[in-house]
Amino acid sequence: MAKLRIDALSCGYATRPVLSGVSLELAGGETLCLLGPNGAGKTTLFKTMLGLLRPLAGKMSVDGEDTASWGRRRFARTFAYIPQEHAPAFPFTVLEVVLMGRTPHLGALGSVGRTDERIAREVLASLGIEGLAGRDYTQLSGGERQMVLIARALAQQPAFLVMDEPTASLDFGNQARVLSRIRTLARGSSGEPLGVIMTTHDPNQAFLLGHRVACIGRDGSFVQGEACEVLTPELLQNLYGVEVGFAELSTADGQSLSLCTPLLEDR
Amino acid sequence: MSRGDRRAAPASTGASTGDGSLSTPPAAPVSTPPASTAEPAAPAAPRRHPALVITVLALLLLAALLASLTVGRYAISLDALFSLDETSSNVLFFMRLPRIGAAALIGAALAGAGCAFQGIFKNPMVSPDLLGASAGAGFGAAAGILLSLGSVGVELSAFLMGLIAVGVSYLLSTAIGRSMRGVLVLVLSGMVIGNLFQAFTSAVKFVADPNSQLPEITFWLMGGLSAVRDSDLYWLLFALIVGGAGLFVLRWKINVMGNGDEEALALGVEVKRVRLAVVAFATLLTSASVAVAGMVGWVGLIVPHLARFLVGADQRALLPASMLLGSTFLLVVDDLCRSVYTTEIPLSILTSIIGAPLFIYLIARTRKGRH
Repeated sequence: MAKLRIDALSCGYATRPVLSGVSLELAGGETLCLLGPNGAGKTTLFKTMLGLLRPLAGKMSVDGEDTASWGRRRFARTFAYIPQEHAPAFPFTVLEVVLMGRTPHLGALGSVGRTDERIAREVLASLGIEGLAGRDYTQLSGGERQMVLIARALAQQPAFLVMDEPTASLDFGNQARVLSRIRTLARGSSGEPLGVIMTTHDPNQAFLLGHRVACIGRDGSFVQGEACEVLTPELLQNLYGVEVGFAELSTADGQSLSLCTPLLEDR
Repeated sequence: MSRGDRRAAPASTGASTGDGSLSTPPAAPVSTPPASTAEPAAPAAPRRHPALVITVLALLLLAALLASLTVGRYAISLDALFSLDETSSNVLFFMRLPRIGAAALIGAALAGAGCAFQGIFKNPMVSPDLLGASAGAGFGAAAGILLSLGSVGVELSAFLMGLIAVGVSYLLSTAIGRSMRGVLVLVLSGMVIGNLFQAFTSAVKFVADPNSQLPEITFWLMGGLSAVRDSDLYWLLFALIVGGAGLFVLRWKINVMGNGDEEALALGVEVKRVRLAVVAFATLLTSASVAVAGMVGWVGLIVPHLARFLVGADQRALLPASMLLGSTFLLVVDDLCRSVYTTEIPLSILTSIIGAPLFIYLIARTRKGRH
């Protein structure tokens, strides 16, 4: 299983550093939720991990191999980026969208072939959405589109999934469906266990996934650890600047689950 | 990240195809189909058969080529094609054939270039002269006529100025915009440079001899294929082979770039390099076409649009379909140019008269969400 290691990473733009001194480790099978207020630098950290931004300082390595010398295709074969669902300008079919995930595996002059199409169809089937293959991607619902983007990322056959608020525009039910799919992928129930890094605006998703969190504050602070240990009312209040209420919920299988909600100011 | 990408789309018009449905995603469950159905039961869009459509388009082009041989002020019937007298064969081989060849090649070149441009600019409303190729070529031709360079010189000057205008647009955009929104800066640079070259053309017209040079410039700018020579065909064929092959090699990467720069980068595409290559190949096609035929609008805009209705958005099918359809379209339009009226009608007039309503129709269909 692949292991990502980030050491004292500083990221941002040449004229405007956003984050500094970020260190974290992530192995296949682990999930890391990135929490933080708008503008704290979650996206900047993402872009740096994907190789879209050069680190200003520090080091990033996968299985001990420094990523500084990696090209675009090498990055894309290791990290798959799952953006928030959105419609492209052209009516590509679902199969075509998923096939785009094969791009980093193609030769410099080539196009996708039979093998790529087989992989794309397998991925769609593994997510249970093979029936969408011929549909117009732009005509799908938000939840379906998000699943197709997950399929595209899996077709990249990466070691890590990098997800930018994958549930942001989904309804209640689809949020849960996408989250359980993410957990399945991390556990490797459908293939090699993947390392998953996702941003979210909802701390409850970190509780639900029950794995690690990293909180980025607007002041550049960086706290990480197990979700249930790190996410205290004090921390969340500091992080978002609002009062937070906590509750414990007993699930059907007898386990207890923490939940939190922001409290509205009383005026 | 994706939000930034959408902002980078050149004009608000371009987002029309998809964004309308974004605001109200229906709350359908994620995993709709039962696992047993291997094939989609009832896909919403009609399933396309690109190979079949492309074959039909190729046959259509062949028919148009054949029909075009018979059309003109000097009528030659289909039967007569096989038993030519001397006049007929002169008309056919020295006048009609080069012209038909040029129309077919230019139609394919402009449609192919437009197809690739729409792909990399993520906008179906983009035409291949977005970055100033036509404006530059127009100035090149006008300047050539002013300097009495002769017909070959005028063509060469037009071709080179087309390349130069696009080159300047591109360099300008890289000098200004180092951020991720490269596309927007490029489009704006193209607009500025295009406008500048149009001003240069006006300046040339202003100083040109109003009795001889000015009408020549004006006619050149209206576009037409009446002056096509055999040597033009070699030129065009060369441009079409180099430009077409270049775009063909990049066809899949152009698809991926339809997702926006950041996603394309994350999918392993060297976005800047691919964009530069596509701009170069498409500009070769556009400049060579404009240098021979003058300004021919609309082809590069509507033909890829039309082809997208037939074969879908995948450049692997869209590029050949656009080129075949572009060939046929320009052949038919040129046939009309040289047969409708006693004197020849400039090409750009007819492409606009036919193109404008067709385009409105296509937009109306897109608005209704039917691709």
